Amino acid sequence: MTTLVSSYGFGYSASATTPAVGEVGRRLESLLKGGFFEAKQSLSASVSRVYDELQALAHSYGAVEFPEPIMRVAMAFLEALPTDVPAPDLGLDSDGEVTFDWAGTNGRMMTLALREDGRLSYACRISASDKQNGTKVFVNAVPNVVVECIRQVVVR
Amino acid sequence: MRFRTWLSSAFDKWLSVSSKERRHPSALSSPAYVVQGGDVARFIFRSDDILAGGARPGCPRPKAFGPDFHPDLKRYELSVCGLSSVSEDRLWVLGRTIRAKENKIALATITLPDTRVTSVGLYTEPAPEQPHFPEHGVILGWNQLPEAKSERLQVQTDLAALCSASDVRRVPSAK
Repeated sequence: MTTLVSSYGFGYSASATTPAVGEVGRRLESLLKGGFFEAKQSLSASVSRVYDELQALAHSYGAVEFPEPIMRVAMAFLEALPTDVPAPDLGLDSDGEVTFDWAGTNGRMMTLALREDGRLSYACRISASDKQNGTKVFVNAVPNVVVECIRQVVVR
Repeated sequence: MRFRTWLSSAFDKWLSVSSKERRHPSALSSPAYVVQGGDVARFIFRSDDILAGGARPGCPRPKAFGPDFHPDLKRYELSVCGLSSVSEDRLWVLGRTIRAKENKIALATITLPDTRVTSVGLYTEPAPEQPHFPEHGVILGWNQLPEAKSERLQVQTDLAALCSASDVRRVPSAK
């Protein structure tokens, strides 16, 4: 079992949505050490593209509005997404939280806002009468309710 | 009779002066820009407020409707521009000037009919407190608890889902 350095505030918990333990540990440790390029090399093409977008987003806002701590937790979140989930659209809220959006057909939408301390606010709309929202904490595994909402939105 | 004439004249004179003093300068001749049943526009200053592709290309993202917390009024509000009696030219002049101090120029606007705003449980009020921007209004009715972000996100998502790419108007290119 890989044990990660906890000084960054990341523990490790296995879940059905994460790849093999050793591989995650190596990737996450590489991220935490700022090895953005090395971590990106081992990822799928779609997630790698989103990493590029995250970095471009950070550059467009500047270091003041997009500080490094939120960059790190956003990268960890992208890393933790299941491989069958399409890459989200990224953004930055006026209160400094990174946003992740998925849009499906017939007005289905899912939006997440991730705060620096891992607080994850989400809102999901499947239809006008089928909606849910809530608050979870992201450590390094995406909460199951959030994953299920994303899958309901993007289903074809 | 002369006293009555004098009294009447003095009263008319007083009425004329006091009426002018009571009327607020902005109410003398300016129309109402944010009106019940009318449309308002949300200015877009960042390209990532609009979806680039996927299932809803060109449609607004929920973050485009993220309310700000007003530090003095202690409430969440979403700034908009009233569209009643507002010309296209005036709209884009506002888009270039209202955030010029922050070096931000509007890239587009999202048109919001009043019925769409009220359908998600919100409402619009005029808020012409900014100089040179009498068309300013705010969308209110947001959950006011700071920790209720997910509730506000739900309303933002509902609003975004009701919008289409045709509600987004890009800034006209220079002629």
